[in-house]
Amino acid sequence: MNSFTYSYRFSDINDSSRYFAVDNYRDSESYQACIAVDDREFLKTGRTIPANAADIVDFAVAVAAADRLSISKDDTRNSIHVVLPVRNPEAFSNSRTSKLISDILYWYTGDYWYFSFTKHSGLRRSSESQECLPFDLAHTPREVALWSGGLDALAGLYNRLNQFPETHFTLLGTGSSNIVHNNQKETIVAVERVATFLGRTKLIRIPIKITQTIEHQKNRQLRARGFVFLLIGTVCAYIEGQDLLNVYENGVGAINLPYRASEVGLDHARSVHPISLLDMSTLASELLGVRFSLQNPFLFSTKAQMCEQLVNNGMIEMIHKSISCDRLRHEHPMQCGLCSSCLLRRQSLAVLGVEDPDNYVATAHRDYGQDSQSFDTSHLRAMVSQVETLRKILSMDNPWDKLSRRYTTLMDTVDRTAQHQGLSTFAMQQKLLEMYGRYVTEWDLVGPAITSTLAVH
Amino acid sequence: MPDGDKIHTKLRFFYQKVYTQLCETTFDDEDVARDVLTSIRRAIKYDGGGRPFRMLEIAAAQLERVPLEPLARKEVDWTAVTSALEQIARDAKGKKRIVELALSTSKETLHDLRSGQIIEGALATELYKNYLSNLYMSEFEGNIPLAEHYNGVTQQSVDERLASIRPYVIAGLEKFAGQIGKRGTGTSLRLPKRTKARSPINLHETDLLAGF
Repeated sequence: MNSFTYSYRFSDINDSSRYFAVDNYRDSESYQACIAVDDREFLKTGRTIPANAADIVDFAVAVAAADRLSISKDDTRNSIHVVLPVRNPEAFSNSRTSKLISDILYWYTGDYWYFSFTKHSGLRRSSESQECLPFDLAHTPREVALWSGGLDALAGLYNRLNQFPETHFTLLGTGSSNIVHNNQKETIVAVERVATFLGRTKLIRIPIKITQTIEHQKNRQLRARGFVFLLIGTVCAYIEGQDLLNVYENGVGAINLPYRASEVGLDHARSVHPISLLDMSTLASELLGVRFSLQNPFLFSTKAQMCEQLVNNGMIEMIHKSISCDRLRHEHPMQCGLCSSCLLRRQSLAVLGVEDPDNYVATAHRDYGQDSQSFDTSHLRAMVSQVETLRKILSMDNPWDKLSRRYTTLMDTVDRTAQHQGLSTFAMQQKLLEMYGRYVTEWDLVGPAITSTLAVH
Repeated sequence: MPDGDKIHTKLRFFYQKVYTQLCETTFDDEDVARDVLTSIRRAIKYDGGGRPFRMLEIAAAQLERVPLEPLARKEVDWTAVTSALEQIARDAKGKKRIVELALSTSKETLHDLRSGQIIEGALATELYKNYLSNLYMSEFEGNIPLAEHYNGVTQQSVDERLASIRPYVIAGLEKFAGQIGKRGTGTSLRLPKRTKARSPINLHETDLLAGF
């Protein structure tokens, strides 16, 4: 019997759809699906994509497909085998890199990942072969960041555009949703309307298309999404001649502590957790053969703190362009207002005195004739419960000791990443305590207003 | 980032009956606690019996190597110890959730050792006890719905009732941990003896033949 639960055999990954074979050994099912990555927008950098970077894109795309189609049955761990042709198999196959890859993917997904890298046929994608217009950007300071089209990405960009007036920004968006794809563009158009920002941003979107899968069950959790996004962002920064990829994410969301004791392990995503960024820095350096870093400049800020400048400068329309929801709808209002991503957004904007009730199903319910009693308030109740836990712990003697005992991930985070943050362990502990303290205070200010809109008492 | 976070809104079927008992005043605290323990025992069996305890035994052996003297503790590479615990979890068999819960228990105990806490008795038994307590919190107490309760009971009443049964539950879990320590298995766990005798059936007040 095969020891893998899933096996994926890819041929060269191209701009146009190519078949790949899926073997689901647990359910004795085999089929073919299609995959394509359109990375021609990398040409906006004025450079063709080098072979080592094209390999990383292929690798990220293959992981995205395997993550999408591997279902965890009865909460068991999958053993996923991926066969992927790359231009330089040696770069991926050496023992250090392959251990790093499987360690990081285990951290992200809780599954066992195995890879066999074969030799690529040599057929190049447009992004590798097309002539591009020569740009002379050598003297322009540049920052590359991930671009989700969400509020954190927007607030982060806005702060950085103001903080570094000489710097130009390349923003990388990816994924397979057309709604998100369009929203990423609309939000950046709104940013560029500010006179001092005009011509300082460049949006590069790399859509991944996984098709011919309608009949097959999908993994809805997509815990490798952060891994894929960060890898493609790394490639973008590398092509732009940078050795740093920025992620703009508030600290509470980045660390993403469980709300209640019932949430264990990967119930909460680790997409841009500080440990994820540290390990991805190591992997990027290994794969690119140069020292490369991933950083989150807002790790010690709450979401409300991140949004302060936007609100103080009256950029409310820009805020309304951004989307945070985990359960996005096709029609207006597109955001539910009930998932944890929406709630954190609503909380942060409420702290700053901004109301955007029309943007959520939950708060626009009067217009839609819906009764607030029928809404799923489980996320809100869970978040409020976490705030109570934090409040209790932070009021105790020696709060760091109590906090890191209750949430051991914080102990690991400080142990592993303080140095990467350029801080002593004590200084990082204090910064985290301060951030969670502020977060609790923010909820005290606006919690009752948010809960009352959902009839939660 | 919050990205499709999973929030548990329902109790597993093992705990549903005992939850309704919790919400009814007719059941004695100790009886409810015993039913919680019975539910935990069934859940352990369903989730692979001894698997997490085997993992915790190996984790305990790893933690035994952590020096207890304050000066020696300063020299410990805590990241390396954490990595070793993570590797033990990765090598362990079992459901993701159970393995993660056992790993987080191991890390809590590492935290205690690191902060100089003295652990009396066998470290493995301490780990079993902490794991069972975490299992109880994650599966029952920390998973009870936060919305409307059964029988129209208020959240405050549920919280008070949980506080009342907790000492009995914790005492029972300690007994379970002791049995696992002695026998090395999480199966066939015996409930602790009742602290008070059941009240005898009063034949004068109860019509045993009603309905016949």
